[in-house]
Amino acid sequence: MQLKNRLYPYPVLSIHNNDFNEGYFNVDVTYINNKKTLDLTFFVELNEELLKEYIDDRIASYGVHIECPTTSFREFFKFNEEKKSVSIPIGKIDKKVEICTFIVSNANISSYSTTNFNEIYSGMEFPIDPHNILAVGKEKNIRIEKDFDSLKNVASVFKMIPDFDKNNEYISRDFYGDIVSINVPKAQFDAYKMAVTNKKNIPMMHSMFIFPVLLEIFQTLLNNDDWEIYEDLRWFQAIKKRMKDFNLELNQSNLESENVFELAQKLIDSPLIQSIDNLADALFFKEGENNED
Amino acid sequence: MKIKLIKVDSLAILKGNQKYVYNQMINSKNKKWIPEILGQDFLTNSKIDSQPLSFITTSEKPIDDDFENAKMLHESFKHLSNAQASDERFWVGLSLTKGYDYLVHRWELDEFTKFKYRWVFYTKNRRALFYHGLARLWWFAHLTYDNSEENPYIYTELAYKHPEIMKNMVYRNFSNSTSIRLAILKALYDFNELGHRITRDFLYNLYNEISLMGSVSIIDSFNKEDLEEAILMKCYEIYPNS
Repeated sequence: MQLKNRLYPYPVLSIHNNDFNEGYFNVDVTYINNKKTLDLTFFVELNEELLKEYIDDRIASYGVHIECPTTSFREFFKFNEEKKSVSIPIGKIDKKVEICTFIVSNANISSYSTTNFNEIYSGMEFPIDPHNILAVGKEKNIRIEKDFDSLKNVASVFKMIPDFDKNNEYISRDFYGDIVSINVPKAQFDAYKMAVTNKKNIPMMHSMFIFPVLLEIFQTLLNNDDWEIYEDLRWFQAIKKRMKDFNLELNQSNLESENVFELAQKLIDSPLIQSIDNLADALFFKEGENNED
Repeated sequence: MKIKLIKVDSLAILKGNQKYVYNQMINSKNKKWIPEILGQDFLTNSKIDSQPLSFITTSEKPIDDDFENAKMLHESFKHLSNAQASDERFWVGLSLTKGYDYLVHRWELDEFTKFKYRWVFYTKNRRALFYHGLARLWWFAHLTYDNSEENPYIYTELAYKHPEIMKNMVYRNFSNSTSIRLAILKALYDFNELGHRITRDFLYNLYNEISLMGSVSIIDSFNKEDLEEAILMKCYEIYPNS
């Protein structure tokens, strides 16, 4: 529910407008995801005399609207206390929960007016119906992580996929889904599968396939200000989580200030260095074998 | 027994090779292509209890069995949480196992788009739930199910008789609210019972009016009876112009 750009036919207390001279309304949210329920606690902060009076007299109530776009979950809670706790079963939600807060009228108010209205409304009175919005707080989104372990390893969100289309001669990639898929022509995919049966070849495969795609992802993020289409995706969350291991937040300014070529290597455990070391070991071993002859 | 989900890797192979898979399906006429392309172990166990499914395929036109199949699938998987029922791995796993023959019967495979929309999720957003051949049955039943009614599928039947009701509603945000959704369905049911025709234009105007109500009010704040009455009044207001 988008509330911040709405226009109302009467003054609404909100940080998004200046309909009131003074006053403040917001609802802070704290939460705990205990894997069975999402436990939310709301703390109301209201500093406006008339609206406070309405709350005390139950002419109005605080309202919290909780919506999960992925699972079609939507619930509304109305209360008059300054603190309210709510538990949502985790099975009802996934990925992201959007929270909107407001003050809503419970009754007809025939002449809504206060000297605290902005001067353009000076002396004006407004009729208010039950359920009308009187104040809007900040919106908050909460990310729901369920499969905690699957995000530990960045490489695990990159999937090598056999490409069965014989007309495709090149390797392609796609990072618009939850995982990053790297599509490899079937014959080369079979060779890849053979190669990774030897664990020593894995860093080389990561260098060849995952490293360049991760660089491209960073470049794409650097070139785009709006990351909304990526933020819900598992690969984005996995990179974000891995960056935290290095005390780095995944944001535009950090990507701009970091050397992304090095950062990409760090996040997938330096496969280029490991590949060269493994290659050197193999050559040395071979040389040793030859020397023995 | 637990329901099997398709593995993440196998789902990625399926979605990365949709045209190839579609051609295999129409040429092979059997299910041998599944392990050949996706691997022998393309499924993994879930925590969801398995249920016997008996799809109905008796009508001359497969679409005419949709209501009964929606009811059957919802009854069998009434225990699904919203999150489980939004999981592509569940629906694609079911499509490749217990739902395979039904999907071929219902949607045929005469064009590639039918595979793209009905066998896998064609988009990341919730719209995919109302296109996938099995997910759409469950979700239409789930969204119209009202356990306060003697026949809890009374509105499901209405929605299948007038497909525009849900088609136009599910893309509007207010449809996520159970109380708002059921109030609309109840009002439409009563309105229809009184002999009024439910047309596409009428629904378009009604849903616009409800969206408008939500522009300055919190519709979720209404109690059930008041909301039903308010929507029924809207029905009468806009009916002459629709």
